[in-house]
Amino acid sequence: MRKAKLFTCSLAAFAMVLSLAGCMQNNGAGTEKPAETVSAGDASKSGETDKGNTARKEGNTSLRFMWWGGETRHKATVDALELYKRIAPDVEVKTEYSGWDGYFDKLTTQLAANTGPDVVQMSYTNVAEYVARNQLVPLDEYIEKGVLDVSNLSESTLDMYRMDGKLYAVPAGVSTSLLFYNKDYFDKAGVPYPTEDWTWDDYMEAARKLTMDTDGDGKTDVWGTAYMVNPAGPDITFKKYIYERGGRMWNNDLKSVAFNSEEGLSAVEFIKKPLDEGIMPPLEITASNPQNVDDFQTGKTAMIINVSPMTQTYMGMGINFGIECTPKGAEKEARWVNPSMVYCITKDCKSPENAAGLIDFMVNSEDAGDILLLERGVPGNSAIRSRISGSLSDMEKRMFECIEKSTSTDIENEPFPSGYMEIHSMLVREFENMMFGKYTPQEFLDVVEKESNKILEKFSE
Amino acid sequence: MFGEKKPFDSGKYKNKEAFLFLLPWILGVVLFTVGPMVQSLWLSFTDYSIYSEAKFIGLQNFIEMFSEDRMFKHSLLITLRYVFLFVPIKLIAALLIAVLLNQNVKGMSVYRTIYYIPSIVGAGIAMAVTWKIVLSRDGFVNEFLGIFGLGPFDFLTNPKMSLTTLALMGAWQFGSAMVVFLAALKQVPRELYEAGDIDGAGKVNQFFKITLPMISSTILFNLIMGIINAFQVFTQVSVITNGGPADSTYVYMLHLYRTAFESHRMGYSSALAWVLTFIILAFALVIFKSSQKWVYYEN
Repeated sequence: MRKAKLFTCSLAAFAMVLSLAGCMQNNGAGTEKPAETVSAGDASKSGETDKGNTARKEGNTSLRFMWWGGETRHKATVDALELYKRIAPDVEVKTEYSGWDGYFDKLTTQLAANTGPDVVQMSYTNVAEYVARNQLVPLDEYIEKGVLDVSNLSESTLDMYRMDGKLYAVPAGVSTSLLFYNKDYFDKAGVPYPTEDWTWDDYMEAARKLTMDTDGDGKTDVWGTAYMVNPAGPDITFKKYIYERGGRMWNNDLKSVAFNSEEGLSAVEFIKKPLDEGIMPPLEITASNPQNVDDFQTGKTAMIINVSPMTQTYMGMGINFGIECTPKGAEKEARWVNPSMVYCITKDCKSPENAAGLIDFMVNSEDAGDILLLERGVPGNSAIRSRISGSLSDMEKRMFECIEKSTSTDIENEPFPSGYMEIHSMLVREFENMMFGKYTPQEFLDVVEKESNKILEKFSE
Repeated sequence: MFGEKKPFDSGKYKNKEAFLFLLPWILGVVLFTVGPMVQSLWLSFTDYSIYSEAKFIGLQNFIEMFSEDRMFKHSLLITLRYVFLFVPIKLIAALLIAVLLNQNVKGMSVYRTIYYIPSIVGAGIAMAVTWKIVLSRDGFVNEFLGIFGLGPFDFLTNPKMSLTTLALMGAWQFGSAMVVFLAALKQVPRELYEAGDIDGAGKVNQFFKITLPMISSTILFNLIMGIINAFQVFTQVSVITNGGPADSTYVYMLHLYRTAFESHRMGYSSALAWVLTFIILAFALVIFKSSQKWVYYEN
């Protein structure tokens, strides 16, 4: 009798445990973090691979290298790291890569738990806040020692990451804004292709001619220009237009905004103008694009001003397009080169000198450059640029040319303040509100100024 | 019964046995539910950003919430609109389908399964992404409507339609409520309907005068459950519209998520969480109070 009782009790307990596992229903999960899930539009895997985890010799350093990107970037990086094994055989590099979504949530959590990676790929916008929180290690020591060579990198991009006189990040690649145009639509509308001498007026006029009905159903289905939402966000365009008009984004101390100005207003109105004139796709159409897909890719617009890495994306889609440098005609030319992304060393790195060596390899090694090519944007190293330009397609060559020309000395490329990532998300949403007509351009600037200052204040405590 | 007491039958041992069996559950509840709740309550009075120590700031979070936070009011309004759209639609749909499925037609179990499928499949993220494609301008639904000459609708990208569309998508998963209603319908005594037939009451009359009152306790249950879930809607909104377009689907939980993981203000979002708890509690209490008037319990 006792045995039977014990048996039924344990059976009941076992059944309860099983039912608990089955009860993992998704009922209005308030605390679930969807950031862990990989979005369907992002074709990358999330995972940790242990590279070469064979016999660990005494005195072997191991470095964790973390980055985000798609499959081609992962493959190229892993292949390049194979080469590194030959150069530094006692350094074992463990790779951790994932998609963009949730990347910084993951990094933040790791750093808070003091388990951050050694070398980390960072967005070109958020280095300042990680420095403010003491998460990154200054690189000057390793430059002086000759471990990390920055002589072939553009000074202006390095300047963006000097805080308190110390350098905290090295560009992994560079990018700039370019004018992309769909040759098929231009041919159809009979509009001559853009040239280097195009002004913004030329651009707008062409856009008007290129807004047309291509399938004869009486409804416009191709527009001349686009509202740049995915993936870079309208704040890139906003910054460019402000610089062109001679304005600034931030005050000198980076603690408050300077874009609620005459130049800012003019910039915002210029962004809204195509919508008012009906020469850009209605917002509902742009909003229904899958994540990270823009109107140029869906064939809804004949021209778009976007960042240079999009070249690869558009090429991959087989669109018949051309590249030109952005139009002139505003007060300033404002063509400048931005880093596409950067490499940093975190405070959790136990052997920063080796980490600096790895960064040096990724940025300066010619063999690595041959493998990595344009996976992280155009190489920041001018020597590598000239080396690989021979093997590029015409499109990519034109992109290189525009980058070499993007050395406007008539503007000052301000660094990004701490808190910029949050400001960026907020700007994307408020721009959308403004475009939908929720505020006038001036009201929009007032709201955004207030919110941005609130965010910036957090970091100056 | 009062026979020889063996040591294993003594009262003390029985308690220990019971306690041991309960222990896993108690540990789970304390560690994963009660503990975090207490911690969250503490955090709601602090300023905590994960990177630095939590700083006690008293009621400041709550003051900021009600006076300065322009998205707090907005997200609350949006969520209320969602609740008042989602709950009635879901309950009415669940009840009507349950009534339909409560007949003795051949193959009824197959029909029941079919109507339950959306609840199993629909809650996932894959489904949410599918909906986004199906409801887009070139998607299936608009193509279908185009056959009848109805213009393409921007279900998810027009600020005026987006919230209603989301509410409908949520209400589509009425399966569990429907099953509960079905069980309740089966418990309504036959004699009542027969009496109604004798008295000459039509089917519709019978539904309102017999069925509804008899299942009112189940309606209460589904109502409360529906409201609690509706206030916490997050996953679908985050994946499909992410609060847009133009903040038209910016629900409360999205605001909480952003304050926590975008602005890194864990203290403030804990405060938001507790305010939501009290709002839901208030709704539940009001409904319970009113239930005395309209709910009929057999006992």
